[in-house]
Amino acid sequence: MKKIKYILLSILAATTLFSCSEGFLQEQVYDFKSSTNFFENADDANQAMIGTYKFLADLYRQSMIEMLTQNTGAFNKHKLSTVWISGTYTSATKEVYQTWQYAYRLINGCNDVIVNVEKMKNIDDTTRNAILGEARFLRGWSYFILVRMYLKVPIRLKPTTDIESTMVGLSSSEEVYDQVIIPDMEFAFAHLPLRYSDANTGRVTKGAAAAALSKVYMTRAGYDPATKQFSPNAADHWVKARDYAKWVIDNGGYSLVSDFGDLWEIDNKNTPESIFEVQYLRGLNTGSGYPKIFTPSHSGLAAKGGGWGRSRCTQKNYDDFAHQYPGDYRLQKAFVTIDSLSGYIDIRKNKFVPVYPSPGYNKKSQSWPYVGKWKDPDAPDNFAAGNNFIVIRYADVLLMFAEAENEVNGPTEDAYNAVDQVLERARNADGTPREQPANWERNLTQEQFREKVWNERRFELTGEMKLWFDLVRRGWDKFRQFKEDDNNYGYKPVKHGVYEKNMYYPIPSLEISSNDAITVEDQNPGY
Amino acid sequence: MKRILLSIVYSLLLSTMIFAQTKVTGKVTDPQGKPLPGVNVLISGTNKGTITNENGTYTLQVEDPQKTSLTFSFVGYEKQTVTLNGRTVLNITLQEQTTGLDEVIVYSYGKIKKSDLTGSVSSVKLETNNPPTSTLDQLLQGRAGGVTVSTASAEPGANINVRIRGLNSISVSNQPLYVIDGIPMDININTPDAMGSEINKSYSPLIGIDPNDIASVEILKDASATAIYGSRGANGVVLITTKGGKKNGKTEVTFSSSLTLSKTAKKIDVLTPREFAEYRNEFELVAAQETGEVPRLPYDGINGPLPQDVEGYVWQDVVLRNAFSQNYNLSMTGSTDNAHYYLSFGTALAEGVVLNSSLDRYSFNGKYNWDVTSKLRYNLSVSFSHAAGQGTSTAGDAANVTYSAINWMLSKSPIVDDYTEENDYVDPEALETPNPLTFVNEYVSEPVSNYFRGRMNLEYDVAQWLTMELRYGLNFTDNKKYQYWPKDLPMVLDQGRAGYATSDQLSWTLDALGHFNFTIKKRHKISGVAGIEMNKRGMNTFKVRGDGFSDDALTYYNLESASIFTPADLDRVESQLFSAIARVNYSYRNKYLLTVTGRYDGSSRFTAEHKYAFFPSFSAAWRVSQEEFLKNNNILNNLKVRFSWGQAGNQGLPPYATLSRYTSVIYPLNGVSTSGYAVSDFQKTVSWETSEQTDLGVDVGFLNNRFTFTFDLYNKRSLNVLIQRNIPLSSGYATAWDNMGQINNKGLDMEGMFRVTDRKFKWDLGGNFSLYRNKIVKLGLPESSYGYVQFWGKPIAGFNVPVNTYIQGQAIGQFWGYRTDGLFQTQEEIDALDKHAQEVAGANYYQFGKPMYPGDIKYVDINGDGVVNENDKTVVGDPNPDFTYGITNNFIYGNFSLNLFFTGVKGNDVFNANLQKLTKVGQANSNVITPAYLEAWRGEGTGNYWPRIVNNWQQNELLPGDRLIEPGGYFRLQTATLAYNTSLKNVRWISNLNISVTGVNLFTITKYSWWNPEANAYGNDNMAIGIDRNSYPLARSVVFGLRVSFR
Repeated sequence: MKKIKYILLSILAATTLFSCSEGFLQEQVYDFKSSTNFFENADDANQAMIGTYKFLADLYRQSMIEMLTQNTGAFNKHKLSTVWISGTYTSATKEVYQTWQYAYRLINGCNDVIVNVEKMKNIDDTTRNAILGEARFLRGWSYFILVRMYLKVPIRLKPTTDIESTMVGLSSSEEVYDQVIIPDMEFAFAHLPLRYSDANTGRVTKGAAAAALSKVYMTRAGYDPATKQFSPNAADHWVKARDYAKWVIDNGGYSLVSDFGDLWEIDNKNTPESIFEVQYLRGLNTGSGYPKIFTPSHSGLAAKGGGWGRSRCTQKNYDDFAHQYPGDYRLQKAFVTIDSLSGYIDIRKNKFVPVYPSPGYNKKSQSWPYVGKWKDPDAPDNFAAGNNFIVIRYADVLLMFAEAENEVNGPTEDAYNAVDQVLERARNADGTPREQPANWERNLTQEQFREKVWNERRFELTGEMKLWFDLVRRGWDKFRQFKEDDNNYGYKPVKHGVYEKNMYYPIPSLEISSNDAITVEDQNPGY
Repeated sequence: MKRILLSIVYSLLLSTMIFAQTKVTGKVTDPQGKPLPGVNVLISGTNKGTITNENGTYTLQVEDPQKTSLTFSFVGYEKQTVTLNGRTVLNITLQEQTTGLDEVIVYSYGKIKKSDLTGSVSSVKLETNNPPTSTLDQLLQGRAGGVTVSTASAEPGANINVRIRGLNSISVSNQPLYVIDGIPMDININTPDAMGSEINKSYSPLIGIDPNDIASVEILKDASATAIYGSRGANGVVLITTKGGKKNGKTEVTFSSSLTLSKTAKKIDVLTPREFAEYRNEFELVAAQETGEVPRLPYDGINGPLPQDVEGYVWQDVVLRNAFSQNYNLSMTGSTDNAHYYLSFGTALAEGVVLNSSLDRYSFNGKYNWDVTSKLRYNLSVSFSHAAGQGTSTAGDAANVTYSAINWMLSKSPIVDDYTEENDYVDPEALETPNPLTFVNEYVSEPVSNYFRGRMNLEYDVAQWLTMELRYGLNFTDNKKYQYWPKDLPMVLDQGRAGYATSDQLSWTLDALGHFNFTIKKRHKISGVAGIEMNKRGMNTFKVRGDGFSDDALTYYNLESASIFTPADLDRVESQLFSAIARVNYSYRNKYLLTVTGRYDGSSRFTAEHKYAFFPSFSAAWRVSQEEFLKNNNILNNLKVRFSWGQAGNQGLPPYATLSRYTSVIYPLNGVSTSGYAVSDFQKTVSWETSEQTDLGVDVGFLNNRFTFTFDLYNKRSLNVLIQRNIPLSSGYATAWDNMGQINNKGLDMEGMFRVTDRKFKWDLGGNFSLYRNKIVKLGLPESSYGYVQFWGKPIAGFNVPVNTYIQGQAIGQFWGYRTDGLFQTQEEIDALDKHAQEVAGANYYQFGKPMYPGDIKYVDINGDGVVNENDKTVVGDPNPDFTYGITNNFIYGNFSLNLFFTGVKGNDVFNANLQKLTKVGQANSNVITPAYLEAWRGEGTGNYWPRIVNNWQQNELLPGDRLIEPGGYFRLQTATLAYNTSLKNVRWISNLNISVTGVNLFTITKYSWWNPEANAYGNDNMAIGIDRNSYPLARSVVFGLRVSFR
């Protein structure tokens, strides 16, 4: 009997204890917020939005840069054989899946903000719509990058909440434009503010949405590598592209900075010329990698004594520019130069190192000029530079307007005027006007104007990740011709690959192997 | 809840009644009639008793001389229990013990007689002639069947992989649970890295424990033994019992010390200075031929000396040293009338063979046992240790494998000018690789770990059959890591970086247990334990780092003057467990044994619907030798057949893994850092991983137990395996925790001990053997493009792709890569392939997008599509061994003993990642292994393995594949110890003296080419296994040991 008593007592004690275990087994969180304690008020919504920009910074930090510069035919690399130049990258190449991954991280972040802010109660409609506008802009922009690079992508408009729902198949670029990009950008255009208070400078604006829409329609007006043909609705698209660009010019309140060089001063962030700019801050988790990727080693222009010089301008691309506009101030500011001579000071030897076309350059290792738009000698680490990246700037929009206007109405005075603004600013060399680049003669045919504006974009926007997109929308013939011309000019250790498949990228193998809704047969042709 | 606990304490503290006393005396002798001093005489069922004096006599007070019985026990003799039946004089002759069957061992939540065991347990004997070691895990290697211990890194204090019965899991830990004196040691010695890149080096959780303080180690292997540890038992349990005082009234002081001299066991054959100069010349010739320029040879007698005249260094002689380690321990035991104690102080100063790598430990250990009354006992033990290391980076970090002293030591150009005043070597050619000596001298990494362990328990005999126990244990550790990278190292060139990180962890465990033990009608013996357990762990981590210093003089102490700071990070993680446990052992006539255990576990790590789980086990044993037909058998004197089934769990996913997560991040607005929250994880409903195990075992003893043998067959199934699986990147995430699939481990363990001779010369021959076959039964994933249901491990540094794969139907962690087939000898050969590729694929025959030339490595086009690319990957090796074994030989002649201990592994493959860099003859700015240059292809038929020298480092750079796979089997004389042990009868104050000399790793027979076939760069990470990269050189050592006991 006694034993039973003890046993019963212990059971009683154990059950009592267990009933208080519920609280004891609750997880306490300290270092992060969870859905249980987030999205409660406008402040939370704002914090979530700012956090989402971090994904934008990650997307523009590294992988995409090499993919978009070296695959153009205008950029080279000192080290032999690279998959980007030779066009031999595959679905497993790191940059291919990283860019995809970062773009979708941004999309998932935006989706999370959108879904949560839409159902929030404790927020006024203006604030709600402004935040939704920002999130939808970034989501649309991310999809815009994806469809241009990967042709067809899964459409995800809800944040990931379980594994089953992540299995989504591929949609064509038409579907993505119609279902996501255009509605998102139009919503953003309708609800985003034109300007922010100082403390919020750097967030996306109405003007950015208009410029983005203009770019979207220009892209849609061009060549589609999926169907291998130019758009049947090109005329409509060009009108829209022109109108949105014109809206930016008329209503955006933007202007060109007076000196081209000022654009690349590290402290000149968010200038009146900037329309959409990715914000970086010198530091280890907040910085960018542009100086490291473009500047020469031992030049003192990037972290740890210098850059990698990974994407360097080919001789052809440089000479096209320099022959068109001899003495153009932009050559001095867009490339690494010392006293307008291509080259840099080796900080170890304290000696000038000439680079093509400066006399005495090493025919093997210094055959290609370095892009010098982004420099940060004080960056503490490779990806910790303080240089912002301007995704869309006013000069870009002026040239877009000129291009679209030329497509709609031919080379009108408006088109010439837009280009003139860019050229005039370029002539202003540190306060001293130069002869070049001179304004264009007013006698160009539509075709000549098209070609000239295309070249102008190549010169003005060197290294700014525009050229590959510009080439693709000009079609396969242009794309092929451009690479072949470069292959036949100057010294290069490895020729550009000239394949049609390089007008797009493969769906990453990591996506195919983990997504039940995508099979190997869905892979883009050629990969 | 507090009130309930208090009332339990209160009830335990109730004092006992006192009876009248009667005096009993007697003498204890051995079979030869000699008196036995020091024999324990206990009143049965109590802890009251005494010990015999020098003449073997004892005196004792008993309450009731009719009913009281006395128990006599003495080490090496059979225990005897005799009822007084009214006698007041009782003389006893003790019989020498021939079997360990009556030995009582520490078991889960209690103790058990070995003969009553129904589960599978290995005991590791820490005998006096075990060689002195500085860490406990080294002692476990090769000592027990079913336990695989491998030295992942030979660096002092580095983590050692302990695997019990195979690999159960993929994404979560396979490390067993360590339980010290009944308290789970759930702490992590390692500190997060402040330097911005994950370094894979990790310290063993056991570095804070002085092996001198360990009394015994029990390894619980089958589910019958581990299920009671529930959600933490799936990987097996290691029970560590520390030394305590003895109730023998004597004060004894023991001093032990050992001095160890170590030297690298082998050298890696890289080019000598002369060979390197020739290599540089040849490389420049090849390069010039390619570009059509006039070659400029660096060593032609004009631009530099001729190869035969160059001077240089063998870097391995400069960076590696003869290491000298010391180990001291002073312990004292003693007792008073109702208490006994153990105190020990230890110092271990261990030097590694790489310059500036060391680990010093200072430890204190105290144990106090107090019999408050005849029914109430109080035990207290506290232990503190301070371990401070000094380390250079040997392994390199995850981002850049070349940030490693070992890497530079091997790959640095051996041609250098004289040693200059600036403490630096000058490389005349200034070839890219930096100076390894600068690296080891200036790279600063100093981990510090302060570890406190406290345990207290109260035991109260509520009744003769029931003892209540309240037990509270605490583990606290405060770890720090100070780091500095000087300005002249390439990681942060011209800047310098200082980092400081801490992690402090506190875990406590509270047990309220009832131990019961009673007999019904003399035939039915029932014993066991039941109770509840609460456990909480908390960890704070902090890290801060600064970059950009004006000079290196103050190293990390200059942190405050950094020119740029990475935002400091402070974090806290907590987890809790709440459990009810029970075990019942039933025995019928000591022949039929049955054990049932259960644990009901609640864990904070899971969502509400999966918080609780029940882990049962059943086991039975039949002691056949107790049956009448075998009882008087002279040959077979022990035969026990065991069977068990049970489940244990693995809750190994990290805390908070099921929660959605918004992490604080910074995005600069208007040039000012602005904080926000970024979504970084989504809510998941994962559940426990369950390990279900069936075990069939036999214990046999022949010839008076001169020959004992244990054999266990097991089948372990891990169900609902916790996997951090790849999910579509379009989800915004790369991986997510999920329960999927099943893994089986089938295997057998054997342990045997054979006493060959038993006269003045004794020879004990022991051995163990373990074998497991591991299979991923189910994964629950779609088929990959390779036609397997598979997923990949984690991308490893230097290759940026995973080299392990997990394929349904195969063993865990198969090596994944390319196969090669010698070299291209002629252009025709390539042209033929090119033609074939044009026909089949409409493309050139390119390997990885590159055209091939004679002398290049020929990769196999596995899928036959005409070109070689990543679609041609396949399984190229298996990191799982066929079997592992250990053999001990113990020879004793008089006062001398010789112990030889061999270990071996057969049949596993190692991924030798070191070869990638050290065979690269396409660059010539760093050294290579000798055959890569000397036997390089130099024209048709001149070689078919080592590729041509070419001025393009990417041309024949080794990709993951068969050229990096080497057999990892070995047979090693782990230790050989010669000892002299004497009890010095003539010296009054010395009771025992032991002098020994031990050779460690005297020889290893292996086909493996690098330092250590056991190397495992990723330690406990199951997503990257069997990979050797920049491993720490394995040493060969001589240990001089001394142990003196003073009376």
